Amino acid sequence: MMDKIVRIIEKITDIIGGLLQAWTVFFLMVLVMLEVLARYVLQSPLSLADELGGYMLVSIAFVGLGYTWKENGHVRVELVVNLLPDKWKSAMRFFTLILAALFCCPLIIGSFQMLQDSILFQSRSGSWLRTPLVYPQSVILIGSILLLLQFIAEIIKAVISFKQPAGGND
Amino acid sequence: MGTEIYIALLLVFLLFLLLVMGLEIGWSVGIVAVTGLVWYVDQPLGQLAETSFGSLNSFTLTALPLFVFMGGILGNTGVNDRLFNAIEKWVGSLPGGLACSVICGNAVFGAMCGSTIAATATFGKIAFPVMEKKNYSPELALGSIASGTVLAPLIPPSILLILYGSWQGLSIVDLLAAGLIPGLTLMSLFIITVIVMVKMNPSLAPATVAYTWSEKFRALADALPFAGVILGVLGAIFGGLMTPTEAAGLGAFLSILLTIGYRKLTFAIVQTSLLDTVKVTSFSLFIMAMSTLVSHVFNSAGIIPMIQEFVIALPIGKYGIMIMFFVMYFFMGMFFDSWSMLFLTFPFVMPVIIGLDINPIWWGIVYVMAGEQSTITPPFGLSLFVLRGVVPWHSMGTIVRGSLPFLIPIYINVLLMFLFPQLVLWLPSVLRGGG
Repeated sequence: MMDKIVRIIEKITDIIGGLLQAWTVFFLMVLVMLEVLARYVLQSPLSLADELGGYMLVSIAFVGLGYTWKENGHVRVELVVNLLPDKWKSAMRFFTLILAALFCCPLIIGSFQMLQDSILFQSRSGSWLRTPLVYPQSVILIGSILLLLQFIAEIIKAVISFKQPAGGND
Repeated sequence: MGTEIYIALLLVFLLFLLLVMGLEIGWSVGIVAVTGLVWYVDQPLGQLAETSFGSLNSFTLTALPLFVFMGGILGNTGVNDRLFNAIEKWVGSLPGGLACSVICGNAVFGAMCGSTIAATATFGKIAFPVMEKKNYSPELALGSIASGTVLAPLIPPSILLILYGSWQGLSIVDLLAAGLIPGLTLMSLFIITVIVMVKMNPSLAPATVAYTWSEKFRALADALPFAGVILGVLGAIFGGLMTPTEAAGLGAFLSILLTIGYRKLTFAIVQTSLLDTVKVTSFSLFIMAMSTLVSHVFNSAGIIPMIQEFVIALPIGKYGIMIMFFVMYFFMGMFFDSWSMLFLTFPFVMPVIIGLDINPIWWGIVYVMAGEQSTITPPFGLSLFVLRGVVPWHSMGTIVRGSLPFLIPIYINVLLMFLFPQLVLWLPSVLRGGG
């Protein structure tokens, strides 16, 4: 049962946090090239890449957080922890995992407050697109929720590995 | 103000504690930032999301994923072996010729995409087996590969300088131009180091091979497509035709064309490179967003001006303070990579630099040297680890022994920049002045 939950969450992380963001990078490249093409060949700049590129970057960074965690992509200082005996090391890792998961709370509450403010004040971008900021800003909330989901999977995996008699490495 | 200093110290201690406990850097900084935000400056949590969105919603910063993607494509397809072979035909006749070729190759690779990790991994895979077969000492071979990667972030385009510039609101074009001459002097100093080492101990490298002119020119033709990518990217930036972000997009696009031309590009490589890009972008920009919030918290509480005042008042003078920062980065570099150090320290360091009236463009280049020395110093040298992954049959000790002599040219280069700041500032001023 728990295995199945982990598998489902990791699938969601892989698709939304990994693949979707990966191809966002590709489309960012295409968008930037189209902008250059429009400026130099068609002599009429699209003025889209400036704004959309920034939104895409926020999405890659925030929606990709959970995927990056899953793939051990976030940098940490392991030097001191590695001096600990294995058992203590796993316990410390579990503790830091809980701390990291708890950090999702301010992230989610904070992004929710930001969205509320954007709706209340009807905030829009300064460009000709006049994008309602609530849309691009919502990727921070989506990323934070996905991150929380991934942490749930990580905690389940850690608990399962603690329960295994052979003892764990994380 | 008294208790506020204690609270600030407590927050710094909390950051230190979380880092030592092995919590990811972005989260360590984030927890400190949120604690400070709520408990210290009493602002709503919405500020966390607002700062994150505000600091990352930047078109300039989008050059980061595009250059990382470009590095991934060039690195994962292995097309750089052609580049390395071409360079070897020209530089290979110097004492320790292959080691010199690796250093030049790193500089050229740096001129294409500026990614340290991609450079180390690529040349570790391509050059090391050849050097080992030709009886190069493993120390010299591995040292030249690892140290050459310090060049990539100096020679434009540089991802580290783009991060620094867009975060601090500096002209990216000026910063990129500023890195070119120090990059070339460092490359020359590295080559001189190899030559001196081989002259002093000829057993480090085999006798050199001389190539005929026809071989050299054939190699030049092989390197032409790479030169096209470099000219495309740098020409677009310095010629004022494109912004650095657009040039990054062009570079990524040209790399795809180049690797398709060599029939090396597969769908799997594109996807792997894209996924790697997501990881690098996400980890680095999350730390950046959280550091921006830390900066906001400490500024709101009036602590940053106090630190600025305190450091500037130290009786060691402007140069003493800069040397103090350099030494600090040397020790921090034992535990952190150059990107993380930038984000962790610059909220506090930059106000001091500005207060001392030091040119931030010049300081950016000095920081690249200060930060990147960490990639080849143990115990946490990023290049050392990447290289260990590529050549696991050699001990970390061998890689470290090989890399350490290359710290000397790095320090000489820094000294040159202190003595002759124009090495850094001349090219940007020429570009800005239009000649």
